[in-house]
Amino acid sequence: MRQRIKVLAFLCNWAPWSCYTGMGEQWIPVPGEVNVIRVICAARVSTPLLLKAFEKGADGVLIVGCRTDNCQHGTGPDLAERNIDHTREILDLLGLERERVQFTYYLAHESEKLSSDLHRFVEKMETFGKSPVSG
Amino acid sequence: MTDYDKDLSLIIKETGIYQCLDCGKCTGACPVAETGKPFSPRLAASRVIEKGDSDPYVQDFIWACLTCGRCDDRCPSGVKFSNFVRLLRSRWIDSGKPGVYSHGGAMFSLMRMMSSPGIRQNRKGFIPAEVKTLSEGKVMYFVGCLPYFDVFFKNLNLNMVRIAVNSLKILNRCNIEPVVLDNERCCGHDLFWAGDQKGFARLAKESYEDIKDHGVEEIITSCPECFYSFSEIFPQVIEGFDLKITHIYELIEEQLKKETDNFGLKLLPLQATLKDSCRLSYYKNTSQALRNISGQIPGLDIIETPDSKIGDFCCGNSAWVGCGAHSKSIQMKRLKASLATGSDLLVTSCPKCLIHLQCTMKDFCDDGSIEIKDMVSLFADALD
Repeated sequence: MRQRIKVLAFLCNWAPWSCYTGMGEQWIPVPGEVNVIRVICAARVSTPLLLKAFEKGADGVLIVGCRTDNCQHGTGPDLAERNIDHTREILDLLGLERERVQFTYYLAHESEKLSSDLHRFVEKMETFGKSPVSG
Repeated sequence: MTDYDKDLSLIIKETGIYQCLDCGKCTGACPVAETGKPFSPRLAASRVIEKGDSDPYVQDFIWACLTCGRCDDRCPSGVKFSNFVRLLRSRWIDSGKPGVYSHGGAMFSLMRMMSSPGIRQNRKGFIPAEVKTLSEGKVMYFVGCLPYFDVFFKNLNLNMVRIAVNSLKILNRCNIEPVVLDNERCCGHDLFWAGDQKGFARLAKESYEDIKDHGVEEIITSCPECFYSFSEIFPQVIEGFDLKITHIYELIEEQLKKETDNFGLKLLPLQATLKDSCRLSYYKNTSQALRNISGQIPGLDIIETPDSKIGDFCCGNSAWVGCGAHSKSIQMKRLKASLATGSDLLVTSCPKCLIHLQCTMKDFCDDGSIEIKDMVSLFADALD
């Protein structure tokens, strides 16, 4: 049997978390492959944390933050993207696909968009297959 | 029986802790104690005997120790103190508690990922076209973590891969075309010293099998930690380990003796001060190699720091365990001693000394700056 993909989604406490609770209110299901971790800001997810996720067997990691002009802390999305670029360079050396880590952003009401993006991300990870680290 | 099965009394016995005479030479030699931290190896030793390793003093102690080996070197009773700390760390990790790691444990994540059998790295991109390497053969050049350091410590602009490129150029100059593996796995030195014995054994097994699959019989490395790991730790966990391990300094020294024209080294009119690594000086007793090679470069004036006479002072960190005020203080002390020699260059033998000292110089050092270079690159400069 094919092993199920494991996706880790770090959700910022502000707009993305509203989207996520909104999904619950509207009975929009979360893909079973996705595990969600709530963080205070997308920028909190540093390179070592991203690497830790892959070390522990994640096949894909999604950082969900706010739109740049909507960040509660000011620089969250910019720092998150910088962390992702940094991590992607390390993934290149490790021979893992760089798209295994991605950043997306939402406004507080965009629950449906978050849901469809989560599904799309899981499908994308399925095309990559299981990470050689988890194997 | 492996290390992690050993109970505390066996650890105490094997590392010679009962032989401690309470003389205090260890504390006198210790770089951590010298920067003001209440830190005493002999007190930790007696606490472990008296109360076991769950004592709070001991718990703080084992993650603050640099395992630099200066106390082992000084101890008149032959207590293996660094190994004692390593085995206590190992007990700590085996009990399920997290270690005290710097950089959020990222280096350990990398090492553990590299121990996955399925991983296929892509790390040879730094090798320039003019350098000749092979994909299979008897002699291998072990690059180590250098390509990862360049990416991870991007903010320091280190260009660490130049150490590997220059080593390869030197090997080519000695008519050696070495194997460089695209999927070279970490040597695991830091996993071992941070107490993850199981992780190290897994990594070492994969690494050894990979290396043997490429027909390798001898490994040449420019990193003191890789050298120590392959020559001292691998044989402990790999049955029938039969690789010959050579540090590039040995090779250069040998070649310098053979060549009549001294490699055709050109004049480098510079003043330099040296920083040897703990793994080469205290663990492998080969600190003379760094001095012999630098002494052969024409025009290079070596001014040693006062500490070098009694054994080199630590760079403030090892095995990516902890980095705090005391590490920074040690690094500042080392940098100030180097600056006081009035040299143009600080020459290191270990890539990690280079990273640690460069980091502190960038962030904290108001006393001026000094160019930090590794010995291999300096030698390659004289070779061009």
